[in-house]
Amino acid sequence: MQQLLDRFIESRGWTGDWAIELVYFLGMLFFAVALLLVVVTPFTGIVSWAERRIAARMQSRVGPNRVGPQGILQWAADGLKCILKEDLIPEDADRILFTAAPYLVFCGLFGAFAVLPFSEHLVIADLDAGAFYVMAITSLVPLGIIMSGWASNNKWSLLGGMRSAAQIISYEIPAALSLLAVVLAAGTLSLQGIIRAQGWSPADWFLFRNPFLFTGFFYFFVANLAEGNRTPFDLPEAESELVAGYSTEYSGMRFAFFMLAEWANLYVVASVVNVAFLGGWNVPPIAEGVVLTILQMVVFAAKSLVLVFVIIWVRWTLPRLRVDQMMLLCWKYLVPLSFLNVLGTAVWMMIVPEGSAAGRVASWLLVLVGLSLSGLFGLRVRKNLKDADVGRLYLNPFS
Amino acid sequence: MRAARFLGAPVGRVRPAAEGFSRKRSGARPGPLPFVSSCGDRMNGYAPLILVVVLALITPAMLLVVSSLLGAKRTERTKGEPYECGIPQPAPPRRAVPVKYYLVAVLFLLFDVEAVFLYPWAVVYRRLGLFGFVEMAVFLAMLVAGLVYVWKRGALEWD
Amino acid sequence: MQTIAFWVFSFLAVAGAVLTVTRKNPLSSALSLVVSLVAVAGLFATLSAHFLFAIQLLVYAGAVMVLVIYVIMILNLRERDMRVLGLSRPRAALASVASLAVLLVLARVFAGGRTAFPADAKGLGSIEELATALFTRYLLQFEVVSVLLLAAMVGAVVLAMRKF
Repeated sequence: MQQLLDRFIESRGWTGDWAIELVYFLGMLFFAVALLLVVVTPFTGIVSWAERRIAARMQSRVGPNRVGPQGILQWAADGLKCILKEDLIPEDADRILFTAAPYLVFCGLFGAFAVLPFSEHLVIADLDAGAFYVMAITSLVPLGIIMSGWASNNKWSLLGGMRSAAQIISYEIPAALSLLAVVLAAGTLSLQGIIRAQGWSPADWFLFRNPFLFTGFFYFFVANLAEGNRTPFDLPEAESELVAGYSTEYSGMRFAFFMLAEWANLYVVASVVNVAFLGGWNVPPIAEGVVLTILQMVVFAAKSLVLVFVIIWVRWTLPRLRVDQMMLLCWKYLVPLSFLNVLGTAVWMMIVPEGSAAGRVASWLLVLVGLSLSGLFGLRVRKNLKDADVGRLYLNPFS
Repeated sequence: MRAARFLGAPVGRVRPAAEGFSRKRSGARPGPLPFVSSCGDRMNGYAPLILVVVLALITPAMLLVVSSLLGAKRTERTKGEPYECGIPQPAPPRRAVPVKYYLVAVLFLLFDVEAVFLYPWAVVYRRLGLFGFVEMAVFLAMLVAGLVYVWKRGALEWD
Repeated sequence: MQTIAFWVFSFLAVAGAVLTVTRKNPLSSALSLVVSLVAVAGLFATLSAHFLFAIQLLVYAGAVMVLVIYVIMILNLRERDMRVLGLSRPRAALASVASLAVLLVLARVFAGGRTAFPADAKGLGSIEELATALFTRYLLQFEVVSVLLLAAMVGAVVLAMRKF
């Protein structure tokens, strides 16, 4: 982004600070607005539709299919409905906190988009401390959640808010430690730098760099599921126990912000995992210029969307954990194991130098392990399908 | 450069791999470091961030204004009551919460601070080498001792 | 741009701090404190102290504030409880003015007339610089921090697990 603007300024032959600052300012403003309008809103909207369709398919239902082709405009209708709803604030609620809380949640998640890359040169801000910044800005979310829970003056909200915040902050530790192993291997905190330290072939991804990073991927993914309050960690919003958790008393547009943030979080999680472990936008060097950028964007989006699908898939497959199980998993398994991961990665880097033959052999072996795990999974699915003796499979999602 | 990339070696501005592990330099103060950040002017790296955050504040505000203009407004007494299945709320909901949440928050804070110390270490680990590993092993040993203590005291049980 | 950012963030930081001490509801105070802390993070950003910017957000605005809010909720502090604790209003005002004066004097002493931004801060606030200093020159202090963290952990557990 910076380079594009630099080139623009040079091409005009402008000098002087004010011109440069103005161009930067307007350019960034344009880019940020474009990001909001073109990427975030429709993405969250379409994902909400996709999630409902996928959920419906998994439960042998049809799902929303009326608004637009295959119901793809359902999100726009929902959004419009929320705007037209009354903005209700309960009488006993703390008005200031009640109205401020959605802003904190929204800001925390939307702020993370600023450092998420789309391609090699397309990123709003390639911060020196990018990986750190994502963790930092999203740490505003639990604050907003507790505030909303307390301000609502409703026991469901309070319980949901407390639980949710406890869960998010607990799982932040394994997430931070797993990401640390990646930073260790990359030697930089900049998200673009982390991607550059990987390559386009799976053997160059951090996922397969060494056995510790391989397991770290799973810890990171699980921890991020929990941080996003997704099943199997959706106890803060457990419908059957807590109505809608911290957002029980919210209605209309304010409720929509919580939902928007939840789906935006899906993308944030998916692309951070993508950046950290799956090689981000790295593509084989077969193109240049604009084509290269488009290729990178496509590759990045494809990897992220696959992860988004996996998260949705997990949500509609697994049952919910209990609170004590959830805490147990975090503090007694994930935290010690991710500690071990950090140490293991450090030792590995010392014993097996990067780019050495041993390292590459290990990477390819791990790729094989990954492939065989997927193969095993496929076989298992086939066996289960046979055993289940379902009459006919509806594999076409649009039927 | 392209050939190198094709062979699988990632090429970028940050070239940690080229430095590798040099045992000779471990312990000594490393030489001048390259400025990795892409931001030339000091504020420019953050200006877009500020913009994004401001947008993230303005957008909901605008949507709420639109909503309040278009939305229905009908005040009824029951609407302002807390959500409960049609019955009056039995007791004021804001009561003291269990102390175990405090414990979780303190543990989170401590491990978070520790992670904060680990991140810069991870960035310069390559240059510090064995020395860096040993110093972090000492640091982590203390914290793992703390975790073991917390575990043994049963503070991690959630009942 | 930098100067504007500085003034905006300073204003937010001070306003948040003032609101923190003047709000009656403890949780509103906490929210104002969040605003103040985030604004301080912004100030770090204008100084291109990337690392401090991030930890200010992560540790203070995130972790510490969650802890503070939990404690407020655990004690179930309300406006009426605050009055019991209370300093009377003139005394509180006197205390604020006194601490402000002390702070100003300290700032004067330590800043020593340096008011402008550092002329060339390239790489000064970068993580590499900071890490190198922390893990070589200030190694002992760094290791002592781990003891401090351990002590805090043990202390918290002892306090919270005590049977009343």
